[in-house]
Amino acid sequence: MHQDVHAFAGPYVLGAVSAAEQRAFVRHLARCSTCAAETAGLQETASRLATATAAAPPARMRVTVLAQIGGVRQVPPPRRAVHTRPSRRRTRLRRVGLPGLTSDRPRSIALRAPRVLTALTAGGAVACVAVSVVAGVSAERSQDQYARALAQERALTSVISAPDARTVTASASGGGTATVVVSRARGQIVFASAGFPRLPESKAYALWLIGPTSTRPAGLVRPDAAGRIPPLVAGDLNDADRVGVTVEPSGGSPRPTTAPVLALPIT
Amino acid sequence: MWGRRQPAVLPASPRPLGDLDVLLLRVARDDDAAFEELYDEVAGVVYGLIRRVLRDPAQSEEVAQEVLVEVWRTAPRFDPARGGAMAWITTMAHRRAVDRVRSAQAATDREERAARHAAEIPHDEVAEQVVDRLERERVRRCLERLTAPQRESVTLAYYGGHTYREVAELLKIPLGTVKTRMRDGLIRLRDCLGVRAV
Repeated sequence: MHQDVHAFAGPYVLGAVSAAEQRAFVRHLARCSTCAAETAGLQETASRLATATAAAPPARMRVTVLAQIGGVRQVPPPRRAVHTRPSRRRTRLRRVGLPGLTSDRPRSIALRAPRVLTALTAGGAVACVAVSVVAGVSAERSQDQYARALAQERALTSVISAPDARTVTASASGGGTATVVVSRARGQIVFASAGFPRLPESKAYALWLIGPTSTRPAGLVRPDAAGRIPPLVAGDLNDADRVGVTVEPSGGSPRPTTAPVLALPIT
Repeated sequence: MWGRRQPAVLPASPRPLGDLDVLLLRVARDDDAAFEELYDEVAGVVYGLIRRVLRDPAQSEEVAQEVLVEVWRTAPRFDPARGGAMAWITTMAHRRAVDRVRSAQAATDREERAARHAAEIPHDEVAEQVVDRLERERVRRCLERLTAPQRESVTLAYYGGHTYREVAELLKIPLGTVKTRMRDGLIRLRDCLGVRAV
């Protein structure tokens, strides 16, 4: 039975199902996150079957279409997405993300998981910031920002829920703590922090990926008015074995110019 | 400080959306200049796909126009967290083309359509650009890596506009088998094309 539903992903993305079957499968996707992820990937694949057929349309079509849209009003953005997303996302992160965080010693998983949860949520770090990124945006900000926040959230989730994701936490010398989720498979980290001292306008915290042969800039972050720093996805890791943080001019520096406030091993 | 001196590079920003995603998001804000840009990026794919399915150029032009206006109208519903802009647009185009095929053509046409589309790989367009040609080549090569029954099932459905029931009937195989072939075929295609998970 289950096998049967799974197999529907093929006909569904190929547009080869009836309207009723389509509705049923969409309902199923809402309940099965594995199926939803697979289906999204297959949908992108089917899209490649489409791009391979590209052909130049008659030139008059452009004029006709551009003239037509002048008289067509756009649908309003779906409200439900704005209101329901934060809580739904939170659930998904808890359910999907946290069991994915693995430990070197399987025995300690049960003990570590709650600690990770605390580190991530209480510290204003990954899990709850991922939610607040979206929640904050949902209030007033532009659709661009909303979209960017969603994309960022998706990037965060993919690192946090990677099968090989590991979490390391450390205190910074100037105060505050940093939590880094590392996925070698993804080649990325999520950097989240709490309690870092505020900085003057002209300065920012710079993140560095440090390896045996290179130190590469991996992003700039600044605490907001409430002292929170949004989480940052950085990569490619390559041979980096440490994550460092320095205070730099707000425009960034090609290499560290001050003593690190933090150097966290990520091997 | 931690290693050798590094060449000047600007700090990386968080992973960005694709260009087309950003463009469609601009369109979603009632930006008709953005739509004009989007048109130039996707009209060829929309038209090409629809023509591939419908075959008739006049009908294809009509449906492609409808789809592109629909892209404009419903752009605010595009959610980049659920997939890319191109997939969003091609799904819409494919659905329209298939609706047209299914409503316009009698069941008796099926055998004929099947004969035309079976395991066929797109290659027949005139005004193709280099990018299009490379993409076409890549997809063609990957389609060739499918087993013949997988390829047949996938192309009959996608390019031929057949339901999986029709495909099962045409190929005289059980429904379960055809569904599995479609999914397995797409998975193989996905891996061959290196499509990243969403």
